[in-house]
Amino acid sequence: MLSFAVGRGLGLLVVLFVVSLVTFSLTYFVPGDVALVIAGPGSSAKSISAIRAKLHLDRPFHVRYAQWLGSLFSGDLGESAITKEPVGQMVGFRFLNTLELTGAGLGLAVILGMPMGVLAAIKRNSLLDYGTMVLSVFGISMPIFWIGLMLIYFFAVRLRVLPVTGQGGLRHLVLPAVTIGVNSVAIIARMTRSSMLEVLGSDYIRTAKAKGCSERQVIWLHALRNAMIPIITTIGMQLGYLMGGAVLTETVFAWSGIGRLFADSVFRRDFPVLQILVLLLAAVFALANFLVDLSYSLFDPRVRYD
Amino acid sequence: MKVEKKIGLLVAAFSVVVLLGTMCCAEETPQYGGTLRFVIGSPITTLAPGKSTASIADTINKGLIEQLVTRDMQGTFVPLLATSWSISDDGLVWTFQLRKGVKFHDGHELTAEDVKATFDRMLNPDFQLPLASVLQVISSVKIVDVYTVQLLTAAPVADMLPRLCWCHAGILSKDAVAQWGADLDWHPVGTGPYKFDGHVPEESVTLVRFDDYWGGRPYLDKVVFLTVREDATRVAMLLAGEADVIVDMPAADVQRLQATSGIHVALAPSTRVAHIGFNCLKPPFDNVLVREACNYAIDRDALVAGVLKGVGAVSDSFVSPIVWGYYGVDEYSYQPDKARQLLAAAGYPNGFHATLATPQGRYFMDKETAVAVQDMLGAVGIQLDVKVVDWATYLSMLTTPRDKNEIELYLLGWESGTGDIGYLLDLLIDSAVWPPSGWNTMFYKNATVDALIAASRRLLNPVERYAVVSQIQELVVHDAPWIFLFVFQSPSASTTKVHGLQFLPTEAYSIDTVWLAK
Amino acid sequence: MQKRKWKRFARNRGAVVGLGILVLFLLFAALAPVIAPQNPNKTHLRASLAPPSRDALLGRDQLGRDVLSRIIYGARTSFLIGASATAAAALVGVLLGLVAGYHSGVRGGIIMRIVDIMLAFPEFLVALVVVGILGPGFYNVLISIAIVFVPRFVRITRASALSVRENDYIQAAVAIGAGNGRMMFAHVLPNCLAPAIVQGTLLIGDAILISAGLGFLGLGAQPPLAEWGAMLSDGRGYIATAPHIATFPGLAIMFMVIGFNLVGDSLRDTLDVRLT
Repeated sequence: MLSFAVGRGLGLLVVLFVVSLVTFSLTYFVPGDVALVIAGPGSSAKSISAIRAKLHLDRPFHVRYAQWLGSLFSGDLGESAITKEPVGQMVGFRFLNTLELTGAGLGLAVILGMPMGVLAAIKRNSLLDYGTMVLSVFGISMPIFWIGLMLIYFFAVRLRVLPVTGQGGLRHLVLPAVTIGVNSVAIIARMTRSSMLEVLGSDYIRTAKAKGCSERQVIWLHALRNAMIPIITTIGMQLGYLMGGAVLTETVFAWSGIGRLFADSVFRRDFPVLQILVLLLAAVFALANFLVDLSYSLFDPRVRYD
Repeated sequence: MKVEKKIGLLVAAFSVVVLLGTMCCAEETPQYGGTLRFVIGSPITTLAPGKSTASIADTINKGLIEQLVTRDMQGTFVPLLATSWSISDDGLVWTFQLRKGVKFHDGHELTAEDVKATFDRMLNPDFQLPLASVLQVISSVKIVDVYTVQLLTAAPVADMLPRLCWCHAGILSKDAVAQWGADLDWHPVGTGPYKFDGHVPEESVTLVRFDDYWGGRPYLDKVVFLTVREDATRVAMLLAGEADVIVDMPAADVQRLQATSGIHVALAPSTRVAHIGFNCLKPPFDNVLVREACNYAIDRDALVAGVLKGVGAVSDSFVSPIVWGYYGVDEYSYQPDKARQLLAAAGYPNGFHATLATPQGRYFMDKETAVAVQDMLGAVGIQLDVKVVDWATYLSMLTTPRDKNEIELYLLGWESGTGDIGYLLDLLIDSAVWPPSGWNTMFYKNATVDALIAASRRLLNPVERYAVVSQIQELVVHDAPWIFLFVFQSPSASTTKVHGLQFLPTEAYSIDTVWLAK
Repeated sequence: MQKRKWKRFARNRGAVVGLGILVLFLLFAALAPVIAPQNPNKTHLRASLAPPSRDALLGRDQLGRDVLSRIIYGARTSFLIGASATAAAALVGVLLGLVAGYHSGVRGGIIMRIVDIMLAFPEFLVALVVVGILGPGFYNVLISIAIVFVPRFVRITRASALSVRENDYIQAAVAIGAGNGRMMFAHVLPNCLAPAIVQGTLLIGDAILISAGLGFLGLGAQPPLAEWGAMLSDGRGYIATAPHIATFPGLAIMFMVIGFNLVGDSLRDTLDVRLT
């Protein structure tokens, strides 16, 4: 188990290293003077030359990279090219807000999606199954930002039961969480259903039934547990997907999170902020993948000895 | 008999008392306390006078920093931090007597040193404050004694008082200036009724009551300016009671809100004029016939009726009617055929291709206006690409010096912060203020106009001055460095609990007069 | 008996419905100038925000343009971006996948490492970053989506290539001395096509969602091009006063994506392809 974790952990570090390299190089891909790109539009000549000095553009690539890495570790995450605020400050509380949103969305998706999928698998080819499949096709096809706008229209504008925007409190979280979670509910439901169907048809289930286990035991103890790996993979993948969806959801609901910051930074070409955000998100995904891999070993002992 | 008479008298007396009482109390008395939530559409990037290009920052500054003089709602100049002033016979020295006992937010008392520090900062060439040119008419500041200060000018300045009423001419604490200088962005230490209590970048700015305010206890305890970029969200917040005042609602919502009970909508005339600026150095816009053609191709009435839904008025000059010096030039009506003729005469019978840059969400219906203009010019053969740019990049694109400037057409809205045409003449029209020295982003030059501008500065007689600025407007409108579009009306909506909110001719809301009913 | 009938019925129905939707939108896209009742870019300022009426079946937007016409022309934009980006990605991805699957040494290893890293990130964010670097615009959105999709095609093709490589007839061909290039293209490639086609069909739906999302953020084609995502973005401010501006483009996006998803699902079942 330990060697498994260490092995995967090293893989995590490799990914982070590569991503940091790519992120660092990003600003050099942007057409134009790098110092100007980082200093931001409308900067005085003085601040541009200060940035140029700080970047050490005359030094070779690896030296610059090491320097950048060093400043990251010492806590200097740079300044926004547009607002001149320290990037660390900008990202900090917004990251927590996004976690709140994606956590709620994922939670909702799992709580709704998995049971739907299980039920659909059990009552295969029934109206319930068919209905679930139809709903899930809709669910994965609806654009997130449209869902958000429609929900705002019906619940906040027409019915006035929920607030349009703002944060702090469950009421404010409902619409954004539902918006961000809809796609995931559909995907998780589908994956749960197909995974369960596969498992339900297998030998050891028949054995369990022959053994005399109750229907409920068969489903929840044996089938679901064995079906979990693909489901967990899907849930793990959803985390990444939700972060992508956070960009659009946060924009619609004026939610102060990193998704919205990401979209703004792209529009305003605020590369210092974009760099840090990409790095942060990469770390989050790599970590999520790592945890998903670890959790496999919980559900399937065979994996540990891979 | 006697009893009835007595009762009759009593009833009469009682009625009189009640009547008198209701008459007195019909006028509401301001209440103290409460937090005002003012929701705006764009983020505040700086509160430093001379730097900020967002007029909502002026509203915030109005509560924090006070000028020497100000204007009342009728437009008359009234004392604020200066109790009296006089001008020397040669018109070159302005002497101000300062009010005594005025405290700054950082505790010390207002003296002539603070005034000197404030103007020295504005005029400091090292700081390169973008809006400094408005106050560059002041050549130096002299301290006469503790409460007397003199502003010296090189030539007589006709609109000195309007310039001193300008939101950016507020008096800052000399200690703050000494400490922060050019980086005063989040340290606006003034004498106003509210003091700065912090901000969350791009999200909110908070002001709290200044208890030592010389004008007495301020009405509100706290004022919070929230930035919510989505128009529909701002409106929803107001309707849900999450906001007390909102500004810049989409035109369609203005009507809806006007019909809602509990909501008060105000449409105040603004000094801001929306326009499409030409880069007069870039062909084909260096040809006046082309510029005029563009002006004839625009149906301004349709713009105001359709895009603005009536919240605005057609423009016929580069200043708005409420600005001193306004002279309407009745020149460009909607004549697409004439536009085509002019284009053909200029050598473009089949039109041409160009790019129109526009911000989004910065002005009332800005992007929509740009797309509407694109369609209208397209109808006479001019094919435009519309390029939506974020505000910071936009400003830097516009103010790039001529050899590197790539702008052909741009959408902008210019206001006259002083309420006097001199502001725009100095900041915008004079050929001496081509970027990077100033804001003549049209790269417009007309020697006659320059000479007239110089003359108008010195004419202290309003009648003479008006004659000259009228001439200037005739010439400029004919030269058409802009496509003149419309004059904004600033829409604001508030709950009926909000009292005393006024929109001043200087493009700022007066939060210092606002009080909240419980 | 009932259950089996349901099953087949449901499956076929899905394909038929999906195909029907796609054909409808394809007609919109191809015959836009003929079908659209009005010029999609012509403004009618005084009639702005008009609700659906006989004159404009789906209403008018904030500049008085006919929403229905804009939706029809928008189908063209969506189809173009979706199909081209996916096709471009397929071209590059299948080639790379063949190489990686066939030469499973260092070359293959490096390709797969890069692919794995790219696949770890959500599609939309990668597209967003690429557009961030390149700048907004129709072609840049196309390029960014293609970049996002390449790894997916690589992975699928490599998996097929790997499984095919072990087949007897391939071994036999190698034994008699068939060259690598010919091997790959003549023998291995045909077996990789089916998964690529299924993947491609499903991905076009994603492409449409991504491009609409980028359009929504203002990073897509610039005005006045009729693009569904941008139309939704414009309609945001009017959700309370003129909800039709935001509602109909969203429905259009949803149905077009449903079409591709249904067809892709049926293809997958018919061709019996397994997509990891």
